[in-house]
Amino acid sequence: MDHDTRLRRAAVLVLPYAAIALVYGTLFAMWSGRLPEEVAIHFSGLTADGYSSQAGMVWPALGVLLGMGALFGAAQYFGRMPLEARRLIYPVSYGCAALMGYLFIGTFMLQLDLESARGVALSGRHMLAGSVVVLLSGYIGFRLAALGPQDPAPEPGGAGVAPRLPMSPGQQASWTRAVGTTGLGLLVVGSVLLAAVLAAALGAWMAALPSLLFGLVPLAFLSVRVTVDRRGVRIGSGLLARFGKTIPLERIAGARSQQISPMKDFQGWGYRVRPGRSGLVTRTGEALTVELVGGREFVVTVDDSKTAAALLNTLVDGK
Amino acid sequence: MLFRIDPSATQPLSDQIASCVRGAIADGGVARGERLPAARELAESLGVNMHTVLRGYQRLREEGLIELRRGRGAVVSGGTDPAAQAHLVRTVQQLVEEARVLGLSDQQVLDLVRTGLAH
Repeated sequence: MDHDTRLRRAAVLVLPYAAIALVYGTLFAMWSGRLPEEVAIHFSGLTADGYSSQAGMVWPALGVLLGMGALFGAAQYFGRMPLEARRLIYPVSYGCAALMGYLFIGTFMLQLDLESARGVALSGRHMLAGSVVVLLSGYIGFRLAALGPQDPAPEPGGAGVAPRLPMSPGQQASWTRAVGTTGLGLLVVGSVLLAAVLAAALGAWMAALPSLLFGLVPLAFLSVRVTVDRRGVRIGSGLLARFGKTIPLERIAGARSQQISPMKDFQGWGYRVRPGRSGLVTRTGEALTVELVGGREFVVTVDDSKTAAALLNTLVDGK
Repeated sequence: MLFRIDPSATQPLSDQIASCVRGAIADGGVARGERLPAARELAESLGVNMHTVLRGYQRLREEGLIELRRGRGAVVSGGTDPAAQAHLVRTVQQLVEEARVLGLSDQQVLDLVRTGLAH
């Protein structure tokens, strides 16, 4: 995906948020005099139960709108989403934008020319109209996802190199390396764990548990080691020694070193299963791709994968 | 890191294992702070006795290239520049080999090094 396409797609995601923020800001600038001094900003059920000054309503609303837009835009720009991922993210993003736009602008209009915002309520008809707007917007997002240039078809088996490692008869060889990860990955895992600790410290144990789990599972991957030897390929060590995965040499047809993009090739990070291939992907960059007997592939992101592939091919040649 | 050993070679297997690690450190393939595979795992992988691997690791520790810590295993240390340290150890090995070929005694080699250090 070229740079212009990524930029254009990111703009498509930012657009609804920017447009709603613009409309909302303009309405506020024009008609803030017609609002009660104290405005309703929180509703329970359909009735207002939280109030704030006008500034306390408009700035957070604009912040949320622009923040969400930036988030979705950045996810598209940096994540290089393939069509399957865009079909999911675009409707969610457009639906979210419509929901927020409807609520922000709707509650604004509802309070125009009121003496006091106390007890102001939305009606069932408002909610119905809102649902229709959200669904329509989500559908527009779904249609937009497929626009633009087609994703290049993945090159089956073409990318990558399959070298050999010279070995004399009688020699034993073993290649081993820890699975690579990026500073960004560590940062994300660290923040999730920090969130869990903070939530626990504040007494929200139930909220802390999922965060703890989401933080600890990737942490376990950090100690994973890939080993290639006469027995085949082994993934796992340390904490995960018991849950390790071994692909015996008899089941291996060959190997190659390949460049992998988690989002593009696997639609995400971690242990992934896709049609025809599965893998442990922790970062963008080089990976060892093991070609299994029967055509399936197993991919693991690891540095120095050329040496690993070369050794594996040599071992397969000699079996 | 690639380990390649030849059981039919004259060099002891533990020394072959040590020299694989040393080579990897010298090439920059293994950086400071990186962990070596656990002795048991590497032994199983290469089909050798675990004590052979431990002997190799022990030698690397004596050369100042790795640290052995209980529970943490073997970690590459080698001062501020592990690659340079690994190079130095290789040079010392070369010195010893050449001295053996010449038939020098250990004392003669030590005297030679001492003379070198004195100037």
